[in-house]
Amino acid sequence: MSEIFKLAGMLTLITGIAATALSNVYMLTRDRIAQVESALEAAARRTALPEAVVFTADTTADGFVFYHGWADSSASGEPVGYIALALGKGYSSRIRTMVGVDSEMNITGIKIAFQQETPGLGTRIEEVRKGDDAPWFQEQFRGKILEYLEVVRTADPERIEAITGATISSEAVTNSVREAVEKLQKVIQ
Amino acid sequence: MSAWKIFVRGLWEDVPLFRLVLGLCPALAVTTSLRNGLGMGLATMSVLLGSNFVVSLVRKAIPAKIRIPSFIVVIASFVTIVDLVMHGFTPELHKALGIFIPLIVVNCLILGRVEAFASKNSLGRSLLDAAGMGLGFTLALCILGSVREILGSGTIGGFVLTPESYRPVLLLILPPGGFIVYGLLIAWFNLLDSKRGGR
Amino acid sequence: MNIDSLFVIVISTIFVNNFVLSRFLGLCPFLGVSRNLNSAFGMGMAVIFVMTIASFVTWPIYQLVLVPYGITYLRTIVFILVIASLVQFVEMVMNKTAPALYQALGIFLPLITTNCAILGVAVLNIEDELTLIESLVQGLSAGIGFTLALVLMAGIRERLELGQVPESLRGVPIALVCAGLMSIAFLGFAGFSIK
Repeated sequence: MSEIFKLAGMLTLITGIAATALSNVYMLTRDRIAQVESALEAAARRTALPEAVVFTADTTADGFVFYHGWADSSASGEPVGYIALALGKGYSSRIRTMVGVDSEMNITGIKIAFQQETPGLGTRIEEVRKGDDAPWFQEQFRGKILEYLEVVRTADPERIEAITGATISSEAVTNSVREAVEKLQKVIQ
Repeated sequence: MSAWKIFVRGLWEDVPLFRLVLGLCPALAVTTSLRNGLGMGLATMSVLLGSNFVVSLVRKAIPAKIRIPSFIVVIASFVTIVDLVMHGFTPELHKALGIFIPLIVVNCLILGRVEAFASKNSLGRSLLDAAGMGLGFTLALCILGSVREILGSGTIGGFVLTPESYRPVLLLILPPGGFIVYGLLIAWFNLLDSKRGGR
Repeated sequence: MNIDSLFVIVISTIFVNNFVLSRFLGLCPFLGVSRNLNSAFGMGMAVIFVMTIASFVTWPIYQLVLVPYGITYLRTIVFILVIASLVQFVEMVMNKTAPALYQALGIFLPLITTNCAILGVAVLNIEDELTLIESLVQGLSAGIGFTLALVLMAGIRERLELGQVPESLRGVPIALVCAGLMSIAFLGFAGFSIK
């Protein structure tokens, strides 16, 4: 009986040492990780609303978080646009997209912040073609309006062209963007 | 067994993935490209080195009955360390490897080496074993990743290799491709080995 | 969360994103235990049981202990220890209630601990931001999907034993190629959506 206690105690000791070591490593890396994450978010916001230089956060009563974007660093006057995070269930991951709109609810840009879709198919939502400097699938959202935010197979200047063989991923992004714009519309207008 | 033999064993005779059929899950899931395969291999090797180091150091102090749980705690700790470090310093790779980083803890290769070698051998020899096996695993992942990337996307390390007219065999970077390429590579390895008069 | 979303989880986890054939989780036992239909089935049952309970236990530990105390980085250690204990428990129970199966599974039973599918589903439940019930359903479905793939593979391999396979392909390589073909078949489920 006492052997069980001894063994359990030993195991607890080992686990305790491990946990202590880990919390130290965590302390060391925590700031760096936070830095990396916020840099990514800031870059995403700039891509979604290029005209803005400063962002201020805001929340609605039911917890919807969005940002006002200002052209002026003092955040005065009228906001040039708004940004919200869109969440959509993709093929094999929850896709997070930063969506930017101007005051007329036209899309100023989107930036996919997180996805783990099928390599070679769904991941093409982040693919940059030779000669381009931004992912074509996301760039096509710029200037689109809410009514025409739907996925079609062939290139259409007003609608969203799907990625061949990755309809689910394309639709997931488009639907989540549409939802986000609708939510922003309700708040702003 | 000489020190050199311990190290080299993991590179050919007992190379993980092609000879020791262990650690399959990450092998097939992340080898959609050379870069991912290399990253996973190095991450696994780090965990293997760390775990072999610690277990070999304290092997006499751990009671036999709780060996396996203790080894698991050690391995899981190193996996967490590697996870945190990668998140902070190699965020792209961290995102690409996704849930397979925490899954390194159940890579039977690591528990296998810790149990079979580090728990019974001195520090130096355990580190050599870890280095050899880790390197062998990384090489195997690189081979698997390269084959799938070259034939499946027409690129290598992100650089476009094949002419525009080559339509990549997309299937190879999808799950079926992983299984088939891996199976054929093992078969080819077996063939090579029997031709050299191996076992 | 409603019946619809649960149904979607069941169908997508068993077929569309099958843990073994699409997500590459649970491969070691998949290749190791699939030689014989009976042991494959037994292993599958054990895995379903462990996965479901593991999902049910790890979720509250994460949400109610790790998150509030800000120690989510301990997730890997805590989850794997919970799973190891669960497997130990299942072993003891099986030894008492179904000793024949216990003997047949042999070394593979404790190896369920290192079955990446179990840790995988526990982590996925968190990453997919599922509720407790949804996690439970995903755990159960993942186990069923695993068992399905395992049993199908065992059926094929039993016949393969009688076939004429070239020397270098014999054993694991040909099994992997078969798994690849099965994976292609399961790819057919992709695009299956419930509106």
